[in-house]
Amino acid sequence: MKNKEVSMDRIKEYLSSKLWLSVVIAIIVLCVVFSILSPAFLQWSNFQAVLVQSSITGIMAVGLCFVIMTGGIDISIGAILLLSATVFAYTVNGTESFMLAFLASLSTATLAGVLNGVLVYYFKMAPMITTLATYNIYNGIALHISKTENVPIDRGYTFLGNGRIANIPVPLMILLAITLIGAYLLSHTRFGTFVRAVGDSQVSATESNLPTRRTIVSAYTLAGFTAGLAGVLLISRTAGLQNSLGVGTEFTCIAAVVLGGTALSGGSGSVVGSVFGAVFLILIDNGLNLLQASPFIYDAVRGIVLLAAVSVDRMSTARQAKTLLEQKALRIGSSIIKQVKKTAQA
Amino acid sequence: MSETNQIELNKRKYGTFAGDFLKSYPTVPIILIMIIGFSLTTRNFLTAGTIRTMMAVNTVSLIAAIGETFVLLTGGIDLSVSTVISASAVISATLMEMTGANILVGILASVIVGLIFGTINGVLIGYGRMTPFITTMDTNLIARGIAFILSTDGRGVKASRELVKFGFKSFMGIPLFTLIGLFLVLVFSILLKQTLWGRKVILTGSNPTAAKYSGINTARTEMSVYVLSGLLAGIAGFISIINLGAGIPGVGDKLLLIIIAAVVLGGTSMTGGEGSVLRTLIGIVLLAVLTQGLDRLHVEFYDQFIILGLLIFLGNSLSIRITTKSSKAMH
Amino acid sequence: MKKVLTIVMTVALVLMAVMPVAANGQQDSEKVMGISIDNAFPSRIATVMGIISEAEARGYKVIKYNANGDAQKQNADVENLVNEGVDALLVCAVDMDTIEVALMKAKSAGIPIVSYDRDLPESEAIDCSVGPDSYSDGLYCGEYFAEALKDKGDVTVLELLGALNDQNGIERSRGFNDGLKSASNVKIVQASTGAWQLDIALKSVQDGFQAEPDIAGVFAPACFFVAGIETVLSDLGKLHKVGEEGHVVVAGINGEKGACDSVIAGTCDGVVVMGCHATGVKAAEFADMLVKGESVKRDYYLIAGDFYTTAEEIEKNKENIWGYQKLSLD
Repeated sequence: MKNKEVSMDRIKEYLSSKLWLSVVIAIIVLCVVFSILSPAFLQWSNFQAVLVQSSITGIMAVGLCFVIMTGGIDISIGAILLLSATVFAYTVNGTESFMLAFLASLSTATLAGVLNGVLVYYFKMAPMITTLATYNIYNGIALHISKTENVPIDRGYTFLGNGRIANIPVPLMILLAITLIGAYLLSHTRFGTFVRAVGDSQVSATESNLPTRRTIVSAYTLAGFTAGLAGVLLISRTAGLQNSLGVGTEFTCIAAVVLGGTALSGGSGSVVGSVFGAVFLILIDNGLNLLQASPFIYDAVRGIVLLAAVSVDRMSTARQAKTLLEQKALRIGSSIIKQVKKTAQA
Repeated sequence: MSETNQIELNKRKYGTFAGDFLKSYPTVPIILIMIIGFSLTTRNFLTAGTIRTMMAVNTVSLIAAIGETFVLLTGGIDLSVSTVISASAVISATLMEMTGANILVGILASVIVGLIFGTINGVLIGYGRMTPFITTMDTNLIARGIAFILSTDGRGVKASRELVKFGFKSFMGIPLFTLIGLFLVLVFSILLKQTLWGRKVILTGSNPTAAKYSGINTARTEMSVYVLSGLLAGIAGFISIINLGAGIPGVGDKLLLIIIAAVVLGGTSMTGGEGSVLRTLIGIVLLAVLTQGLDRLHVEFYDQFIILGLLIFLGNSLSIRITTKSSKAMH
Repeated sequence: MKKVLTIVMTVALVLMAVMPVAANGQQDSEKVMGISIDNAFPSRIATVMGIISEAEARGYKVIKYNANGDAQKQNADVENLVNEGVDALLVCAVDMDTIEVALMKAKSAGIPIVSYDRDLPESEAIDCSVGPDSYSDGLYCGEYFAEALKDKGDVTVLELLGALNDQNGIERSRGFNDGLKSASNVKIVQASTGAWQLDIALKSVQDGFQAEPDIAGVFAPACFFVAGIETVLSDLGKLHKVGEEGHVVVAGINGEKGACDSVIAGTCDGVVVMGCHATGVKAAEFADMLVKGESVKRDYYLIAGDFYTTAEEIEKNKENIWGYQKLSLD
């Protein structure tokens, strides 16, 4: 009897340490609802389509997740995506070399990320404002290069978006790889620890001699890199550049990260959860598409589902925090009583 | 010893006006320099027609930005203002059309729509302790969705002729609806500076813990600013009908970043506690002059993005530098 | 420091008072055409290039404003063109309802207005409209689909929609549906592309094939969707050339280079190439006539597109297809 209770407690403890649990539950609920409503939903090919579509936001969400965990935010990633796609389109058409274009766009995006990090760290402005400024700058540069033209690229260079290895779509493999690397970085390296420490309190992180600057710059660099990768993937799928590519993705990605259990105030979060968050958001669109819903209700449904998901999550974490706080208070209380007893005895 | 003190005091006395002014409105010199530059390089820059155009096109963002200022002062953010403008515009224009151009119905509708969204945000953030960024991002989507669902295939609803005519009227070269915006600036400037509520807002933003301990109901204060922000966005939606002659569902789509940029460029800080409504007015003027001037110079819109980005960055770091310097000097 | 700034500000104020007077001294008698652009994308740029070349040939100076898809900014743009004292106004509206207020101001200033590329059927301010015959462009495609699919039994066709508040998108859809009316074996399923957005179109096509795996054709109301459609088809292993077994019929309207190349490659059935240059030339011509005081009947003047369905046709007409020309507004 007692053993059973202990194991139940253990399971509870394990589950509550998994921040991404609530979004997985939300995904399951959504899947059940849609599979009842549409027969086409519950099919392997559809899931594959959903996962391929999620790969772009998912990859970006992994990088963004680190930024948000440092207590920052990056709203320039949509513009970095466009910039990277633009650089890719022009380099691949100019040099006819995939490798060169790939490297050029990724390094441009990474550089953009480094710039974000450096500006955020050195100028001590709110990250939202810094990245609002760079959002405008990157967006402007991308459109300046393309002069708002649509640039088609040859189908021979779109392997990253359309190719398959062992019958598995390449974007999916990239998403998987980035997720694993991200999760490893977060939980098994010192960088991951630093990110959380900086997010908890930048001041105490600096005071305890942690490399705050390196951590912050690296987090933004990672976000830039993943946005760049997503840009190359997206243009490989669309096989052409359009000047509205990436518009609004930053907010979708932020939503994905938050849904995945990462706190906007920083300090804790989950890479896997962020990817699940991206899948959840794409599922909403996919279900509505399959139901052939009016294009106008998408935003409203998305908003209501998101709000519901976030507030349910908020309630459960608030309850958890409360019990934690009570436990803490009890502990402190008992130690005070002990102390008082001790002094009384003396 | 006392002599040097006296000199120091004198210096402060005479240095204060310019110093204080710059501290509160660090971007004013930038505006003046821009006006001179544009007047030199373009034809007919400072004419009645141009100024009228600038005022008309920026009134909607000005009114919404007043509300955003209060939200930023508490350390929060309201991302839903832009699409609440759209929802309010569509609903108000539709109801006016249905009731035979009843303007009172239109005003009432826009106010109610704004209050509803503001209250949802306010309750969830103030009492539900939810993160402002995420909450208002979701209500932003909901408001946009509602605006488009209620429109017929994305098409707007035209306003009555009287309302359009009202939009053409002006007093001393200032469009009447811009005067409404300026009046709101005045009212809310006084409310922020002169009332207990205003002080509560600032204290909640600058030090929430202290605010709590000094007996302020911070939940209620936070809620009040989101309600206010929603209300003003609703009114802005109605103004957009007058300005554009129709309520369209996409009207707010491009306004969000402009509104936030204007508030921050004016010198209101994103971390709360520091800022004023007048600064926001100056932020709007700054953006208005910049856009108008660059348009007149026929700078492509994407190059304008780059310039705007640099300006947001420089303007904000300038105001941070000036405020921290002066607060250091005070200590 | 503070003193310096005070001095700078005082000097600035004085200069400001003097400057407008000095700057307004210069006047020139050159006639000016003002162009308000809704959004700069390739086919629009091609039309505007047509306007500019014709206007300059007729001795006009050209000023252009780009609203970047923002109805509010476009109204300010039109007012600015009035403020700059243009002699004629050419406008392509972001939103047909809100533009009216600004156009009324231009009209009361006595400026003739021509609407190009997109009709403003309800406007009381414009003098005339010139633009593509979107209905017949859609009809070409619809009839082609009916012909290509007539022996295939009961089939489904996926129709992508343009922006739902865009008159051209509405007309293309109407034409396409009318073209397929006679084909009773074809069922049409519609899907959204947001505001003509490629990434949304991609998702819609992908999900469309999930909902109805046996789709036999996809209609692209704008050519740049063709690339995205081909991506999905190649994902599904259905990208076959015209005439091959299992080919999915694809046709688009616009005339961009990418889609024309697909017709040459054989993966896309046909493309309607709009007469962008002709539209621009005609619009400038009307504007010039109105400036000179000649009367132009209030009407929507249609410029029909050309429907090309083979590689040879496209190769032969390459210099007339705007998609193959260098596009630039500088």
